[in-house]
Amino acid sequence: MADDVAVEETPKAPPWKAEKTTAQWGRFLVFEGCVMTRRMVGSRYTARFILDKYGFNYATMDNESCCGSPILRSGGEELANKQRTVNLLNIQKLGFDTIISACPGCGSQLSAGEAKRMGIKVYHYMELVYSLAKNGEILHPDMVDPLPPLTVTAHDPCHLDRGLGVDCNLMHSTIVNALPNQTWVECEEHDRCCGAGGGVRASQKDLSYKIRERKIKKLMRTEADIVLAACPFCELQIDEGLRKTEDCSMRSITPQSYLAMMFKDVDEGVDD
Amino acid sequence: MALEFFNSINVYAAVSFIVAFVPIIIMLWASKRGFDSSILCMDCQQCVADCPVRSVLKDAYMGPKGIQVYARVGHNEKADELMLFSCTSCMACVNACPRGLNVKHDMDHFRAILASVNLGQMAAHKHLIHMVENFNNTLDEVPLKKPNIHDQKKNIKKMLDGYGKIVGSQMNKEGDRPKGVA
Ligand code: SF4
Ligand code: SF4
Repeated sequence: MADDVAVEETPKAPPWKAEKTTAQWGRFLVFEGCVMTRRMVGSRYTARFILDKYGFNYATMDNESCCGSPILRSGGEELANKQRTVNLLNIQKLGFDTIISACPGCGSQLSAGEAKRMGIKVYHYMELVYSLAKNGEILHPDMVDPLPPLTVTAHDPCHLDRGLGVDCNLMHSTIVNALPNQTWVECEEHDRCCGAGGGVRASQKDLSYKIRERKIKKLMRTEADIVLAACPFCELQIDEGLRKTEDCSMRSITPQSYLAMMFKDVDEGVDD
Repeated sequence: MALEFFNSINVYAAVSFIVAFVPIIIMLWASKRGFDSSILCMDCQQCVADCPVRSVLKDAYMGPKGIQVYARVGHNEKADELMLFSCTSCMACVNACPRGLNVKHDMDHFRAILASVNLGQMAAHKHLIHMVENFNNTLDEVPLKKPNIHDQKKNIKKMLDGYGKIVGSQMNKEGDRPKGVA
């Protein structure tokens, strides 16, 4: 399997570059994961769109295999560990020591075990967007001017908040506050589980929806327009819950889609 | 002289410190590295109080601590009855535990033990394992190949259809944009 690993390179140098942030991150590998590459392809596209727009130096791996996280929750501890090792070895073979994962589940799975010993550091995509905001480089010349006024709240994905140990609330608020015309509103119990994880959404829909009910109630109280959910599973779970709620125009999106939405040319280069 | 030394209060203090705390420190270190941590549990139930699954299922789900107790002593049927496979792996229990035990890791580990004696796993779990064993991903029955983003552009175009419509990345239906977006 390791023989046919290939890397897709970044296509072209962008006209505008977030100098400080791109220098800070250097060259890294983006691990996209099963859900983003096969189902939530909109988030996959916007993630790459943002990376290209700000001029990050990245590559993606052609032959990613499942990270093992869903297998670990399904009672397959041994297979899950094997999946992680195979991925880490492939990544090491390609010469990368920094992984950016766009899915917190993949991120926390890859960062466990031997990653530290192999000298591989794993970060989540939102940490990249956060550093753009923190370095004052999030405003891009290609953005719509003025930006539409939006009230934004967020859900902290469990595997990002506690799995990768990222301060989600600080990151969300910094990103939103760095953009003009955006109002940040904090949700009560922002770090409480949405009910999608651990294979529960796949195996016990009723239980998963009952856990979600409380989340949706808290989100409705914020009266926000958009809920940021930096995990494809949480995005799907919360968005579905919001759509099922009567008179609710709130929608859930990933931070990369939220940021990409601010660009004039977001659908350029996407042909039929 | 030697007797005097061993009788000194400082030596007693040092020995009792080592006997009392060193095993705890070693076990805490071990639990951080993934060994079964439940032996260090002091039964404070903080993990149970914070568990979102417990808050829905109430007594039907004993929470991380309760399930551990049965699983640890090999009462697999009881652990299964208490719905070990209902844990969402949210790690609220890990966050809550004053001893910093990785309770969630133990849940994953006990799931594997239960699965090995054919208990607990539901059809969805078996399906996921089957998918990864045979196709190396959890979703599509296409072995080893990651879909190329260029082949997905048609779908993406539907989702992106102009500024302000990338709402819900999975599908874009007309009128699904949030209020306030042009
Ligand atoms: S990880 Fe599982 S047991 Fe722990 S709080 Fe979350 S749902 Fe409960
Ligand atoms: S919070 Fe920790 S010490 Fe308290 S009951 Fe749970 S596992 Fe035991």
